[in-house]
Amino acid sequence: MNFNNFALFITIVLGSLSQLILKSAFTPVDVQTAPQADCNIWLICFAQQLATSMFGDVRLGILIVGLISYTAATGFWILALRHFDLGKAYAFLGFTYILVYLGSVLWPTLSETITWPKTIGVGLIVFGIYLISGKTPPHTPEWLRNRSALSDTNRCQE
Amino acid sequence: MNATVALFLTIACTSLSQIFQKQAAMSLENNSGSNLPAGVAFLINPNLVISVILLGSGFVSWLWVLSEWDVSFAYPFLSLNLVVVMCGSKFVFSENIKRHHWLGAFSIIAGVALISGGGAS
Repeated sequence: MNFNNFALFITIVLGSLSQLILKSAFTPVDVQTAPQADCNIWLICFAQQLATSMFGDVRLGILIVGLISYTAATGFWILALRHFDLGKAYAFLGFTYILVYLGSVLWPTLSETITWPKTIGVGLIVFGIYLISGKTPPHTPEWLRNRSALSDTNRCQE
Repeated sequence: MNATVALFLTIACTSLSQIFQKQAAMSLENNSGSNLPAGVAFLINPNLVISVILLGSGFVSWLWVLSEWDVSFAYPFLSLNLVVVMCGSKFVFSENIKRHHWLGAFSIIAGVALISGGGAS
């Protein structure tokens, strides 16, 4: 696996993971581990109060971990984009919808439900992202292709 | 403000942000005659500044959505971003949208509609 594939792979995994981490910052905790952060540091105190006033019950530490992994995923995305066609890279981003769905079910503190609407809906979305994000895919039926072959050639030269 | 409004804000902010990013990339390309060093021109580019502000606002309203809805329900809605950006690229930058792009957009919309019909948890 070369670095570019690796960067795209990390983007997808870390991007999905960051959504799960962010969500888990909002899930209720046991009473014993309720957020009683030691407010020795002014900045942390302020951030906790701000977050609580905006989102209610939230664990700031997990939120920050989620934010960092989200930012890191974006960084790897930019690295991947230096070498991949935007459309090609975007097509792979569809995988995040599968990973977030599966992850939300398997993640111990989330335990979200599997339902038919979600499963079929995610399938349609992944297929849609594949179609919307690239050149005309191979084996596309004639009626779906653009009538002028010229525009496809132009696109390849870009 | 409920989660639906926050979701609408998230999609609006992140999509607009991408259009401003494209605008920034184009204006930087055309700015080769400027006296400013490339890095400074990049950082003070108004389009880029607006896109970063929009991205930040989108992130905060997304956290709002996550605080109320299951992530497996909420996250698929973000795919509407691609549909909005596709329409934006047609109407703002006059890009060529082909039939399979439209079909992809309809597939995404159908998927999101199906999930939203299934309920928030």
